Amino acid sequence: MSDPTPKQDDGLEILFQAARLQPPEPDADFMARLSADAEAAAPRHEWRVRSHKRPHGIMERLGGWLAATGLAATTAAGIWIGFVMPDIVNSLPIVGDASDSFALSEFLPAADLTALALLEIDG
Amino acid sequence: MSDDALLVAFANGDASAGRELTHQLAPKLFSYASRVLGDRAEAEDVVQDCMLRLWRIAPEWRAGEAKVSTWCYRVVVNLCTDRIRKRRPSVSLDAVAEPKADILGAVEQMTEAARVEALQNALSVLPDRQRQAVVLRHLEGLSNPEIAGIMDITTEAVESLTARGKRTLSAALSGRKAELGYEDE
Repeated sequence: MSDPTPKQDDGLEILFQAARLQPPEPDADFMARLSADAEAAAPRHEWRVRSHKRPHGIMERLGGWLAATGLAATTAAGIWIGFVMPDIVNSLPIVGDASDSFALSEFLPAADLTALALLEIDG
Repeated sequence: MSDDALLVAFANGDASAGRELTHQLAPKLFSYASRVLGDRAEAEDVVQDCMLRLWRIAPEWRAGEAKVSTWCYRVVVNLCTDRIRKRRPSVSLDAVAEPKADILGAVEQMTEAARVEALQNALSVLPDRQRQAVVLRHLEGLSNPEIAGIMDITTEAVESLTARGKRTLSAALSGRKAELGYEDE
């Protein structure tokens, strides 16, 4: 097939130019449908804000029913042991004589022991 | 805002960015699809399909790696090709008449609307790839390297397709003398 002549090229260019000036345009309904598609397809990021409300009532302050039940059971067990085996309770060093400071120092962290030793040296 | 930035904003949940991107891209894609398919309803289906695919890949989009419009054109070109192949066999070059008459004189006598219609009719007889290349180059105004990226061919192949497409168009228009309103000189 031979190449188009310059006149044929010019003729084509006139047609191209006419077509460029009158592009097929989408109608408004179609554009609205596309916009609705975009809206529906937009990823949803649900930012859940944690509630920081203050606890109300004795049960909430204790940490709920489960924690309160555990606390009540432990208290009852302590009282029962105190009544049934008072000797065991009295022999515990933590409830011993107030002068037994050496026994209390065993429960202190290492740093506090150092501070205590320094105080004793100073004293 | 660039197409790239709008798509990233959309992926981050900004639906208004999606709407804006739709208004930037859809008219161009619709224009191309309408010209290649010659059918508005089919062009709407193709463009809608393309935009839905764009929304689906938005979260994985890597900004700066490709142009959003090139990606969309590529999808639309492929979707149009699929539809054309299902519709009818492509026209052989041999079936198109040699351009004998000078179409310039006839074209100059035509109204703008008649020119648009005559070109659309002539485009419909072009082989698929030639029609796609001619529409992208001469009607949508894309550069040859852009078209090469869209059609996944070399720039030289684009030049060859558009040159052959123009020859075929001239031949097709010459074969429609009555429509163009002139007789052999």
